[in-house]
Parts: sequence; structure tokens; C-alpha cells
Amino acid sequence: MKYLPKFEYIAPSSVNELCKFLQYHADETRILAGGTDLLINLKKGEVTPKYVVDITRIRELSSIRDEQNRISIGATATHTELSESAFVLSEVPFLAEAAASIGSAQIRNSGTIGGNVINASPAGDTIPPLVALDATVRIVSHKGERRALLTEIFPGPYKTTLSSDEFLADITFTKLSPRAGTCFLKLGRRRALAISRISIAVILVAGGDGRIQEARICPGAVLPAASRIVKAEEALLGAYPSAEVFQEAGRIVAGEMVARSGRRSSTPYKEPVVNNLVQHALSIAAERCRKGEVQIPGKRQGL
Amino acid sequence: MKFRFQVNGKDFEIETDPNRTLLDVLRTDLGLTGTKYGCGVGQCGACTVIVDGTARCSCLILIGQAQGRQVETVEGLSNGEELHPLQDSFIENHALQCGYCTPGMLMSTKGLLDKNPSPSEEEIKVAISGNLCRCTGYSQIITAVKKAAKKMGKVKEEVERR
Repeated sequence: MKYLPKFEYIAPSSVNELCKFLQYHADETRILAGGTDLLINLKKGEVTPKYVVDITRIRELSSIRDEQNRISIGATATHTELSESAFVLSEVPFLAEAAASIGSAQIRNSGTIGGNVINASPAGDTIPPLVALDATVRIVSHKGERRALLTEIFPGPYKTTLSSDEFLADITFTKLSPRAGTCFLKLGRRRALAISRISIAVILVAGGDGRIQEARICPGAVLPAASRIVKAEEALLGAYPSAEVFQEAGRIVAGEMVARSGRRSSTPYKEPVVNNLVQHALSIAAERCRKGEVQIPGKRQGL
Repeated sequence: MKFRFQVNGKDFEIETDPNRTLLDVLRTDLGLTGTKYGCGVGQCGACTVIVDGTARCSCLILIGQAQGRQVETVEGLSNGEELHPLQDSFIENHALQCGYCTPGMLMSTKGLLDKNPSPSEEEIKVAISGNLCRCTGYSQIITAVKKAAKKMGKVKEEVERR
């Protein structure tokens, strides 16, 4: 049995209580939002906090809310809750797909979207769809609250710009047009319990004439910091969905990966695979736009 | 610190340090060694228990997280000498050899059937994708779950008919 270093366990029941605790003990604290990463880091001795603060008992941080034209997801909503929420499935199915692709049933039952985001792994699977959605985050502390674009809180891999007394409360984004199609695809070494090697989140919106009115593409795990690939999106605008334009977009995304991450030993594999994955995701999204309905292939039953 | 929680319907209160996992407390303090320690990092599923209705890795749960929760372990599956249909089915279908993964497999699939009484083969595979078995292979396990689900469905039908 791996033993954990000594710490005190605190479980605040409200945001106020959490703010107050962090005001005085932030620098000696680690927040537990599910524990699927934190416990591993504690066992490895990579972190040795004086306090572990479990925020999963704070009700107001766990809800998935429909706010007219926006959707707000509490930091401690679990991956299972996301992947099974009828509301997430109908409005932003690729976020449900991304959540369903994480870990295993057991991990999805414990792990949360806030933990996934704040862990700030380049391979965090909920991040690409959220970046494609231009999501904003609400960050709270005893000093008050602030909002930021999700992309602004990632200065680099495994880092966030949150100060130690701040915490992520929820993530919000604008709903998509009914004519939008979305898709999330992930490539890992196996299907379950795999860290993404490459993932892609895309949104396509078809105009009344069938041309692409809006496109958003965000790759995961292959960039130092998650971001949309605007050049590839622009290549699609105004075009009819076709294999040719999707190929062009795929080529641009693969080129951007090489430009931003550098040539590595894995590049001869990843360059064509990113390209193909983008094309595949775009064609699925285009198909879903046409149908105006979405079926999640292999939608996972959470437990 | 004092921690109160339920295991298999019984109330427990223990006094211990908070830097311990639910798995450790179940095995060491409560003597419930049915739940196995495998990898300790949530990859193998041998330590799977059901917490408030959902299957989770007890190696990744701090004892404080179990406070006030209802925990189900493999010891709570049978009703005295009467095995749970999943247990019967695992035996009948040769779904185990060394048995180390079995408690985790049982708890993952119980979690599945509690929520989804007639799962598809794909749904069963997804439910056990976090449980590693290194000897039997998975096909007998999948067959066992399918047959248990069928049997439980029939029993339920009969009960409803009465």
C-alpha cells in the first residue's frame, strides 16, 4: 500500500467557507476536486500540502445550469454527469463525447471538469471542446470574483494563472446555433484509461444555403497551450463542406502543430495523423449539421 | 479525526489520520479484504467499490471523502449464503481464474446493472474497461454479466407479476 504524506482534511460546505479558508491557508493547501490526479501526486510525494481541501461537498459548485442563451457548468460536475446530461448531449454533444472518453467508468465517476481544467494538462480532454466554445471561467477568492477566457488561464503545460487563494467556480459558454454540428475525436494508446496523444474538437455551423458559416477547430495534446487554429477555420468559411476543403483544414492544423510544438521524434507520425483526424472530425460534424440531430457513437454508459 | 460512513448497510465510526485511502481503511481497519489492492493509481480497478451508487476506485478516495457516504463492497453482495446473481453467473460461466480482479469486476458490473438492468455488450465492455484481468480474458466475464442481467430481469418480472 502506498502511504500518503501527512495532511489535514478539510471539507467546506459553502463557497464562503472555502474563500475564508484559502484567505489564510492558500499557500499550504491543495484543492481536491475529485482526486483522480491529486491522490496520485500525493502518493508519489510530488505534492506535500499541509491541508487538502475537498470542494466536492459544496453544492453550488456542482450544478450544470441552463442560463437562457448560455450554459454554465460547475467545477465539480463529474465526467459521468457531463456525459449523461441530456442537456449537454443535446446542446454541445462533443463536450459529452470528450467527458465520456476520459479514463474509465470509475475515473469518470470521481473526476470533475474543474479538476481536468485546473490540472492544465495539454492532454486534458475537456479542454479542446471548451476552447472551441470560447468558454469563460469564473474565478473566485475572498477578494471577489473575476472572469477570464479559458485560454487566458493557461500560460503553459500544467500551469494556470490562478493565484493560490483563488479557485475555479464554473465554466460558461454561449449555446450553439441549432444548425451547428460538433465532434470530438481522440487517439490514445488504447480506448480506455488512455492519455490522449492527439485529440480534436470541431464545431461547424451551416448557413441556410449549405455553406459553412462558422468553423472552430481546437486540437488537444499536441500544442503547448490549447488554442483554436484560426487559419484553418478561415479556410473553411463560405465553402461548401467537401473532402477538399477538409483536407486543406487538416493540412493547416498539422502545419500549425509543427510550427508551435517543433519537430519531434513523433512528428513523422503525428503530422499525417492530426491531418486525418481533423478531416474525419470535420466530416462527422458536417454530417451532424445536415441531420440537425446528433447521435453519439458508442456513447458510454456511466456507472 | 473521526469518520462516519456506512459499509454494506452497517454504520461505522472510526478514528484515524485523514491521510489514508478508503481502500486502506476497508482492508486494514474493517478487515474487509475482499476489496483488492492492485495498482494504487486507478488503472486496474481491483479496488472498485460503489460509493453512493456509483462505482469508484477506493484507492483514489480519501477516507474523508467517504464521510457520510454509503459504501458497497464485494462482501455486501451476497445475502448470507445466497449469492448475488452476478456471483452465481461468474462461477457458472468460468469468469474467473486467479480471482484477484473478480471483486472489482463484480462491483463495476453491479454498478452497471443497478443503473442499466439490460445493458448491451458494448455497454458491458465500457463498464469493465477500467478493470484489468490478466488470466481469464474478458469474454467469459461479458457472458456472465449478460446472463446475470437476463436472470435478474426474469426474477424482477416474476416479482412484478405477483
